[in-house]
Amino acid sequence: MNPFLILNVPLDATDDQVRKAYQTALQSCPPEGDPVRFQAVQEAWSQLRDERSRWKARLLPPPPATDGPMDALIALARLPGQRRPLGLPAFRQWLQACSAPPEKPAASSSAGAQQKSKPKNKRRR
Amino acid sequence: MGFDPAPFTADEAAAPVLAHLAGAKWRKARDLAKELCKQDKPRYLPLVIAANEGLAREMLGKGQVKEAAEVIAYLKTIAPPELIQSLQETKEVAVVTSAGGAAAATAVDRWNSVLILAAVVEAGGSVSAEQLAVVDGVVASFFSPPAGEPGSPAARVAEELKSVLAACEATATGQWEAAQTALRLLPRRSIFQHWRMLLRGVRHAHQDEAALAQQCFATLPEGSATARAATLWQLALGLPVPANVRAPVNAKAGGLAALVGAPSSCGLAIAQAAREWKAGQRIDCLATLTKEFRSGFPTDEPGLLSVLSDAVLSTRNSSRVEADLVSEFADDVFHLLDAPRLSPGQQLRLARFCAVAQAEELTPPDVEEDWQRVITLAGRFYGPSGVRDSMLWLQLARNMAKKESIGIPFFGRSRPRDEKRALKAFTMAVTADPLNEEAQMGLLSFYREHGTPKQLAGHVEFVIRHLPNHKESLREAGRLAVARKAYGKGLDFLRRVRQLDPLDREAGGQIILALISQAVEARKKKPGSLPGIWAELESSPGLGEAARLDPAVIPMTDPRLERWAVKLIQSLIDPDPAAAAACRAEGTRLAPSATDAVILQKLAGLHYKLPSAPEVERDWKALVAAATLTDVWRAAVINFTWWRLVDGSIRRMYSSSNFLNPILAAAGEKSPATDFEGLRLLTIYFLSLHRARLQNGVIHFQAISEALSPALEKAAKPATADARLKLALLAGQFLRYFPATVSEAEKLTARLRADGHVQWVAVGELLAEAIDRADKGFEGCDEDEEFDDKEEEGDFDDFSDEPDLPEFNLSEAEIDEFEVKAQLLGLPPGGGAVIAAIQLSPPELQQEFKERLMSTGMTEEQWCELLALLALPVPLPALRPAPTPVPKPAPKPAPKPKPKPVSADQLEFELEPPDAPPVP
Repeated sequence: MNPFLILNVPLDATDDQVRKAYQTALQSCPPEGDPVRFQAVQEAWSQLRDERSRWKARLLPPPPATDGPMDALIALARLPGQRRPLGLPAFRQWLQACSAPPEKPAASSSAGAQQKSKPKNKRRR
Repeated sequence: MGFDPAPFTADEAAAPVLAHLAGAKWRKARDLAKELCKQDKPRYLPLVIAANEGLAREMLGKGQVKEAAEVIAYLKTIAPPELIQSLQETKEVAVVTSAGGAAAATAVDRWNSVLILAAVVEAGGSVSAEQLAVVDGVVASFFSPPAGEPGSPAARVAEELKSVLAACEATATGQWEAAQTALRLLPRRSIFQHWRMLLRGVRHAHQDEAALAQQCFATLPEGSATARAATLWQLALGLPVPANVRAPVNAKAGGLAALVGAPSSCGLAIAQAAREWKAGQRIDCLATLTKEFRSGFPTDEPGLLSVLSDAVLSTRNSSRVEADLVSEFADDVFHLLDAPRLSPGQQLRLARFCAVAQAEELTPPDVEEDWQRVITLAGRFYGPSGVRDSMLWLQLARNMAKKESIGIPFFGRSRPRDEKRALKAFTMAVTADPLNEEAQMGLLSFYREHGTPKQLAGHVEFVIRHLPNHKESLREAGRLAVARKAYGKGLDFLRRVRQLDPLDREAGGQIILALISQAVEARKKKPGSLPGIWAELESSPGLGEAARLDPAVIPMTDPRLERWAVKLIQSLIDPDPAAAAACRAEGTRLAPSATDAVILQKLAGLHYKLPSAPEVERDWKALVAAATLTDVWRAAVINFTWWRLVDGSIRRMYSSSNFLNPILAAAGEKSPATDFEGLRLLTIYFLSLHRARLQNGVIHFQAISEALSPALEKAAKPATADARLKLALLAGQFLRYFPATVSEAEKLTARLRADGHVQWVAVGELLAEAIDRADKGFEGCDEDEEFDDKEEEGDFDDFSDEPDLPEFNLSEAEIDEFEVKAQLLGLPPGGGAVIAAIQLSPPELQQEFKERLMSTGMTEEQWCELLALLALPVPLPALRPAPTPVPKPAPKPAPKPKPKPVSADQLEFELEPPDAPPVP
């Protein structure tokens, strides 16, 4: 996951900002309390500790472990500190969707998506 | 409804209308009733009213409020006011709750049902899932219940619902205490009890108390709306979601988006994009998200959009199918790059994706163009930064310098390296940021492999100037100084490394080797300085360190760094006979075996160009005379591991024949089968590999075949020379790109079969098939089919014209099997892939050949050992004979180790029993 999100620092954060964010994150997740998050914080720190590594994390990050947009969304929601209250409209919307009869598998949407697919471009080579 | 059908039951004319009313066919009932009204309006008007009322309620149920209003307006002209009042109330509920469904239209009815169910629960009864769905529908629609008479059950249930709704609102806005307070009013036997658990679970989820949240969610009734609602937080916490609970996908995406602070309205687009992603339509997926988020997507700014950008522009290619998808997608994205509406940030993100995704498969000029575009766009978007540019140039340089894949599975695609472009990119990287250690080391490695000594030395100096305490550059500087015999300077550099890192074993080893080389030189010029060097060598902390290295970490160790070897080398160098003898005695005593001691002295003598002592020569001759197949191969392995890998020079391999050939010749003289066996194994090895891997092996093959060539020359009639020898030479010829024909191989194979050399027949057939395959490969290459025009053809100039490497699709179990074999054999990590490459390339031939070998008595274990032996480098400890119960020779002052033939059970790599080795 994006180390900037884990330490909650902006892309152009300075060394000091990153260090402070790291210290704050460590305080909130001691290794004995939440070892997984502690590990993630340590990794994020090693990726952001200086300008060179920050550029690398920004421009040449490793491929994400997630598979597709929905997976990525779930992974983001799992990040500590990322979850917020839904707000009343979204909460009501969610409850109403859940109280409606269960959806049938949407076979037609995928067929529609297939129709939308454009002809493949010719390869560059 | 207040319609009473009793007056019409005996009326035949009204019967069809009643039937339609009973079947909720309101329009048909209304039309028929209107016809009857024309005959007798006062009698049949209630039928018209009943039909219109039913129609209005149905419309409200479907959310067709506007249409229902028209019907109600008509009813106002014919129906009693109380009916109109009831319909108006229902309509208002539908409008206020905006649920737009049956829930709203029948909200009052549902509320009445809830009241009944609440009474049932209060009385200790239970409710069904369907009944609970009614309750959940009322809560989820945020229904405002009528107040009811104070103190009545209806008023109490209404208060409970209000509490739940207040708690929902507080939970939705994160007011946890208010939610708790509201829920406290809920009695234990409330019909809304499960809502209390849902809201409590949500609170725990937001307070990062996953276990407590799961406890609450686990109590939710199966299949209820609350269980479905809980899935959002279960997903967010990584908690298991029951398999039978399915939340609506679109709403789930919206809910998750809202959960991370984004508008829930984008959920629809994300869900759509996810469907397209799963269908493999990545460009459509990108388009869907771009349309939804417009200029904000793709982006690097941390948040939902950057996460989605990373997910969609992912270069992950864990399988062949995925790799093809990425490649195809990158092509599509490449064609989007020039779109005028893209912002510089979007362009940079897309260009970066293209550069990374296609770095392995495009031609070097294309890859360079891609990365230069990224560097330019990054400069334009972020402003100038040497650190960033250096990093990007380094990425390009590494890509250009990357060695071609050699057919080992799991290592991705292959593209030949482009040294010129690599050098340019490395230079740009170190110029842009001289403090970029990775770039500096990258260029250093590049110069080591491709540069001149002058370039390398110049670069090392440059690195040390900018990074004075950089260990690797100091080590390299030390190595270079020692290579040009500036021992003092070299040792200074190496000692600086040890000062920086007292545990640096590599520097420790280099100090030992430097001192030995210094002693060799001093022997000629300043023999008096030798005692000082010996003292320094003795006290050197690196002595013996390498021998203790974990083979898994550094598979190759240099035996010269072990104390016994140093002592033996010292014995060769020291001109003082007494001191030399003492060292030799000490070294032999410490050596793993007498054979090792003799082989090492002989090798060291050849390496350092030092004359061996007469007794060493005598022992050597005795060893050669007693050489068995196993000795030969052990010697060859030591030769490989030390001479080839430690010194790292292919030229050295030519000189290795000086060592190997006498053994082969002697062994062959003693037993012709021995050297033929060696030759046969080497032939298998080379034929099993792709040509790209043969560069080093061919030299050894040449050395061995040269050793046998006198035998060929001695033959009175070369045409009648041993078919095994001729086959081996034909294989060598083929491998060295000289023409060889299938018919030659087949003729020799026939002779071998006639002579009864079963195992050689297999080699002959393998060779014939390899030649045939190569011929077909060249014939089958039709350039006109591959390239559209000459311009495109030109792009392939840099590519090898060799046929494509074989590809393997191994199952995980098969990969594991190889890895287990590799571990059993003590190969370094990745050894399984090496074995797989040898064993499976070309797969059909290998399998067939293996079966043939098995039929001649070879066991599976021996086959694996053979592969391991052939798949050099093999860690030296793994090749040593197992510890023997035979005690080592006592340390005598004048050792005369007589080599003993090693018994078969002591050896690890004996494939077949030698042909009755004579004991000297």
